[in-house]
Amino acid sequence: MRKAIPFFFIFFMITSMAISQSEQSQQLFFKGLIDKYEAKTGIRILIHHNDLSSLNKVSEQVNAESILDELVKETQFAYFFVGERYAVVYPKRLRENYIKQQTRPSASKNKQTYKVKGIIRDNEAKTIIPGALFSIPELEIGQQTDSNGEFSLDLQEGTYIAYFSSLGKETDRKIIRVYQNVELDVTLFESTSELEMVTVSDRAIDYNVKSTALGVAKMPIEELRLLPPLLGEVDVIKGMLMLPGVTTVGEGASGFNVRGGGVDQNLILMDGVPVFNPSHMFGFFSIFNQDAIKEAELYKGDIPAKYGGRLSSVLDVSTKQGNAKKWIGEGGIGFLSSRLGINGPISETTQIMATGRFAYPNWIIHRIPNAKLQESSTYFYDVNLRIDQQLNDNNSLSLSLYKSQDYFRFGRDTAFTWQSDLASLKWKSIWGEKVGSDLTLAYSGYKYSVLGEIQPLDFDLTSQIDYFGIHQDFEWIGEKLEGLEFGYQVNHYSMGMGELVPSSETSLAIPQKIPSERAVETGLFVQYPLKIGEKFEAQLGMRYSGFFAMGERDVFLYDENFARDVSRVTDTVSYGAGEVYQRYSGWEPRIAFRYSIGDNSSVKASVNRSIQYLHLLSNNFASAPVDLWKLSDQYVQPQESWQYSVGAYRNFNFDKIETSLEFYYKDFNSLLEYRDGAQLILNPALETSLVMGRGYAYGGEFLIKKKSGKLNGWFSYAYSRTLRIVESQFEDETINQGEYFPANWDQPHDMSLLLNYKPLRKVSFSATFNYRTGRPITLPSSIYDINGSLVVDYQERNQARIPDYHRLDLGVTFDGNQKKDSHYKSSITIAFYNVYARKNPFSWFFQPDLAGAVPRSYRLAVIGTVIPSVTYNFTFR
Amino acid sequence: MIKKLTIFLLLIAGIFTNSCIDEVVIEVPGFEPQLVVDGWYGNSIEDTYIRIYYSAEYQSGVVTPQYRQANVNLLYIQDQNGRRINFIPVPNSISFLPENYFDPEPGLSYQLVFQLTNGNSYRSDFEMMPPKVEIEEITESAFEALEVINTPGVSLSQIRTFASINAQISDPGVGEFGYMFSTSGISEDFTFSESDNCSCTCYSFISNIFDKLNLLSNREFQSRSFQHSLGDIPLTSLGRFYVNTRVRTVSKNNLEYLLKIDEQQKNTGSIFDVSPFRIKGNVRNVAENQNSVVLGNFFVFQQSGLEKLVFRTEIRAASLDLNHVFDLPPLVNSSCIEIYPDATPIPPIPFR
Repeated sequence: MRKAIPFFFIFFMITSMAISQSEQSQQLFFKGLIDKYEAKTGIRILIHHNDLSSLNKVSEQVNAESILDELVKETQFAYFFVGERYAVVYPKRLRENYIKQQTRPSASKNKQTYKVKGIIRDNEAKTIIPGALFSIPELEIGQQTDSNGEFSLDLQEGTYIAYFSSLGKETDRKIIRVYQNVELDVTLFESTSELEMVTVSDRAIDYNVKSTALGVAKMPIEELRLLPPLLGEVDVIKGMLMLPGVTTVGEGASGFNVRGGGVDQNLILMDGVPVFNPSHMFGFFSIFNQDAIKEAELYKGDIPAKYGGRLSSVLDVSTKQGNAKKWIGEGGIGFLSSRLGINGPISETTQIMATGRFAYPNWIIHRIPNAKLQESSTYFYDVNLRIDQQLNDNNSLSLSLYKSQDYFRFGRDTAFTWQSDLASLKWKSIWGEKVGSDLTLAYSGYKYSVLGEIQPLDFDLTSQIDYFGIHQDFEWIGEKLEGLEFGYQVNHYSMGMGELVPSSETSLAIPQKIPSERAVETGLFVQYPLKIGEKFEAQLGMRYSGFFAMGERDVFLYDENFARDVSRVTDTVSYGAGEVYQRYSGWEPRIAFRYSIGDNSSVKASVNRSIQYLHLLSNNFASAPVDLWKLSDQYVQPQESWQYSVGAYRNFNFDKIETSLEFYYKDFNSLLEYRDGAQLILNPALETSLVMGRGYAYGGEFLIKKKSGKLNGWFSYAYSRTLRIVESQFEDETINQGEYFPANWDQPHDMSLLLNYKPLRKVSFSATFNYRTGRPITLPSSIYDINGSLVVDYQERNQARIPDYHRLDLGVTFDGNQKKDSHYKSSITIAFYNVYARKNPFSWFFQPDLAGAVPRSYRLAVIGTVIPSVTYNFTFR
Repeated sequence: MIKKLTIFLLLIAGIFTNSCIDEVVIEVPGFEPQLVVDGWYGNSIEDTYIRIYYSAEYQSGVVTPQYRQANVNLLYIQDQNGRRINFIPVPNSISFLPENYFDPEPGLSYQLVFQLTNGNSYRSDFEMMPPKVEIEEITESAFEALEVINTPGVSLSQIRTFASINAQISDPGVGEFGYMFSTSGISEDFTFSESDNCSCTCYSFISNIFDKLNLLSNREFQSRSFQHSLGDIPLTSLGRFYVNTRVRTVSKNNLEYLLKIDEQQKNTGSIFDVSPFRIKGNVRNVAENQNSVVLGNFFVFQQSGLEKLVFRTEIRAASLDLNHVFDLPPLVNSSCIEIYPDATPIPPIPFR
C-alpha cells in the first residue's frame, strides 16, 4: 500500500492540473486533422485558437490533401501559404477589407513604404525565439525570425493585423500601425493547445541534411530543460553528454571527452571567453547557470576555421540578452542550491541581465554520521551579468561578466578553493552595407588554492591562469562572395605553475615558486561556402596559427644520451622577460563537403587539422580542478590532430525525425603523457616527469531524433576507441614497453536514450538512460613487501577495465499557473537521478586496513544510490 | 511537521551515507612473479639484511603472501671505496644476513651488488649514508576530535579526547634526508568483575600506533628543533600506555621511494589520487637485458630509539579544559582476556 502512495500522488497531481476535457477534445480533434494534413503535404496549419469553433468539423475520413479546403469551406475563413511549410488560417474579412480599401478611389496611390522589424521572445524562458513566424494575413505574407529572433519586412503605410506564432506558443494577434518605421517586441505565451506548432530553429528545419556541418549539435536552453535535472539543476554539459561521441570518465570528474580527445582538448567558450574549468563541485554542476544561458553549440567534427587552439571540440555557450520591454525575474529553489535572476530594460537601447546561484549542501553533509564528512564542507556560488547597448542601427555593444568560487574541504587537513572570472566586451557592427564585424575583447582568469592545515607545515599552494584575448570576425554580406568569413585572433597566456607559501607565521613550510609560463598565440582564418549546383556544397576554411613562448624563463638542457633527469642537467639558458624562446606555427585546413541525395538525404565528408598549444597536466584517476595547465615549450611540443569524418543524413516524416550516421578517424601527434610516479606539482624541471607520445582514435556514431510531438527525444549510440603510444630509447621514458595502451577515457560503447512525454498541457515526463563501457584502469599484477610494508606491483598502464556504467534518470514537471496575463508563474520539477541505485564504479583501488596488511580491493562509486531532487522554479514580472 | 522534516532529513542523510566504497573481489589476470630486492644496511646489525625473492600473486586481503626464494650466488654491499660486506643466505628463507659487518659512515655512499645463479647481475645506485639522529624527548598533548561510534543499528558522532604522542628532534643540518618513524605501544586496559579472583587488567600490544608509514623529509626542518607526531592514543580510559619508538634516517632517494609506497597505501581512488603505477626502485640489471623488471630498493639508514611510559591520568589532568569522557571498563567474568583476546594479563616489563 505504501508503494502505491506515490502513484496516487502523481495521479492526483495530473488530474487536478488537467484542463477541461471538452476543450481538450475539440483541440485534439483539430490536432488530429492538422497532423494528418502535415503528414501528407509537409505543410503545418496555423490557426488562432479562438477561431476553432467557427471552422468546419471535417470528417476524419476526408482525403488528407483536402483537409485545409474542407476546414474553411463555406466559412468566414480563408488561408494562405507562407513558403512551402506553413498555411495560416485567418478570417476572410481581413483580406476582403484590405482589398476593398485598396480599390477605393480615395486610396492614395503614393503610399510610402516603411520597415517593420521586430523580435519575438519566449515568455517562459525569456529568450528570443528563432524560427518563429510573423505573418500578415490581409497581405498574405509571412516571414520566419532569424537566429536572433528578429524579422524585418517592408510594408506600405496602413494598419494591419499581424499574427505571431511559434512552437508550443499561443498564436498572438496584434494591430500594427505602419506610418513610420516600426519596431516590435513580441512575447509569446505557452500554448493552451497543441495547434500552433511550428518548428523552433534559427536554422532551416532540415539544416542537418542541407548544411555542410558534420558532427555539430545545437541545444537551446529550452531543450536542455527537458532533461531530468541532477540535484535540481539543468546542466549544459550533462545535456552534451547525451550526444553520441561525448563521454565522461565518471561522476565527479571535471570536463568531458569528445571523440577520443582529452578534457583539455575541448575549447569551452562563454560569450567568446575560454573557460579553463567548466565544473562546480567536481562536475555535479557546470558553471553554466540555466537562467543565464541562451543556447549551447557543440562542434565535434567539422570545426569552423574561426575556432582554434583545441583538438577535439568547441562548446560555444552564449548567454541571453535582457528583455527589452519589461523587467522579469526568475529563479529556482532546491534543497541543495537556489538561483535568482532578473533582466530587463534600463533604457530603450540598454538591457541588463543578472543571475546568481548558490549551492549549500553542508546542512545535509553535516547530518551524516561520518567523522570525516562532519569535518567536511563544500559550497559554490556564481554570478552572471550582461549588459547590451544598441548604439545605433549599425553598432551595438555587449558586456558579459561571470564570477564563481568553489570551496571544498574533506576532513580537517586540506581544503581546496577555485575560482573563475570571465569577462568579454563585444562590439557588433556593420561596415558600409557589405561587411559585418564582431570584435571581442576577452579575459579569463582561473585560480586555485590548496590549503594544507597540518601544523607546523601549514601552507597555501596556489596557481593562477590569466588569459587576455582579442578576436575579430568579419562576414561579407554582399551578393558576390556571400558568406565569406575571415578574421584574426591574438591571445596572451600567463600560466601559474604553482606557488607555495606558509599560511601562518609559525609555519615551517618553505616558500617555493615555480615561475609562470607566458606565451602569445595568434591566428588568422578565412572560410567560404562554395555551392556547385543544387546538390553539391562545400565549406572551405583555412586557419594559420602561431605560438610564441616567452620569458622570463630558465631552460634546463639535458644530456641527450640519457633519459631526462635533474641529475643530467648540462646547462641552463636564461631568457629575459618577453624574450621568445620557442616558436611554433602551422596551417589548419578545415574543409567540409555535402552532397544531397533527394530532398531528405545527404552525405557529407570533412577533413580537419587542429593544433593545440596548451596541455592539462594530470596523472590522477580523472581530471581535477587543481590540475595545472602548461604551455608548449622546447620539450613539450604542441598537440596536433587530423580528423577525417564522413556521414550520412536522412530526415523522415517532413523533417520531424532526423537520423545520422557518422564515422571518424583521428591521428594525434605530440600527446602529453606522464612518467610513472611523475611529480607534477612544484616541479621546477617539469619536463623530467613528462613524455611525449602519439595516438589515434576512430569510431562511428548513430543518432535518431524525434523533434516534435507529445513524445519526443532521441537515441544515440557510439562506438569509439582511442589509443596512445609512448616510445623512447630510454626505458624510463617508455610507457607500456612501447606498446599502444588505451587512454583513460577509452570507452568503446556509449548509448543514450532521452524521452520526453507531455500528455497534458501542464505535465511533462522525462527519462534518460545512459550506458557506456567501463573505463580502463591499471590492475595489480603481484604483491611484495618492503620492510614489512606490503606493496602492490601494478601491471602496464590501463590494461583492464572497471565494470560498465549505466544509469536511468526520471523527472516530472508540473507547471503551475500559465495564464497570459499572470505576473507570476511557477513549476515544480521532481527528478530521480540513478533511479535503480546502481553503484557505478568510478575507480577500483587497493588499500591496506593497517600498515603491513595485504591491501584489499575496493570499489569507489561516487554516487551509489538514487538521488531525488525537488526544485521550485518561478518567473515574475 | 517537525517529525516529517526529521524523517526527510534522515532520508537524505541515508542516501548520502549509503556507502560509496565497498570491498569487491577483483579477478587479477596475468600474474607474473617479479624479482624483488628488500635491502637494508645501517648502524644496527640486527636490522641489516637483504631479502631477494619473487613477488607473490595478489589476492585481496590474503593474510600472508607466499614468496619464492631467488637463487643467488653472489651478494654484497660495497662502499664507494670498494670495502665489502658479504651476505650469506639464511636457510629456508628469502633473507640474507651479513657474513662480516662494519659500521656505516655517515656521508659515505654504499651500493648493493648481487648475481643470480642464471648469470644475471644487478646493482643498486650508490646511496649516501645519512647521519644518526637521536630522539630527544617524547611528549604528549591532548586534543579533541569528532569520532563516530558505530553500534549495531546506530551511528553516533561524539567529541572525544585523544593524546598526540610526539617526538622532539633536533636536525643536524647536514643536508637533505628523510626520517622514518616506527612506533609500537602497549596499552593498559581495564575491565571489572564481580569475581574476587579476576585478572582484570590486560596489556594489549599495538604494532604501529600511527597505522601507516610515518615518513618525514627534513627539507623544512634542517638545523631546526622540531616535533613530529608518532601517533594518537585515546584518552577515554585511564590505563597507562607504553610507547617504544625508533627513528631511522634514510637517504633522500630512499625517502622518495618510501613516500611512493605511502602514497599507494593511502590511495582512495578519488580524482585527487594519482593513478596507480609500478614503483621503481634503485636496483637495475647490469647485464644484457636492461629492461628487465626489478622491484624493491636498497636502503641505507641510521637508527636510534626511545621509550616512555605515558600516564593518561596525567595528560587528562593537564588538560582539564577539554571535554574528557570516560568509557566504563567492560564487565568480565574472571579475566580481561574475555574482552581482549590478543592481550596478556601479565604485566610487561615497562609496567612492573
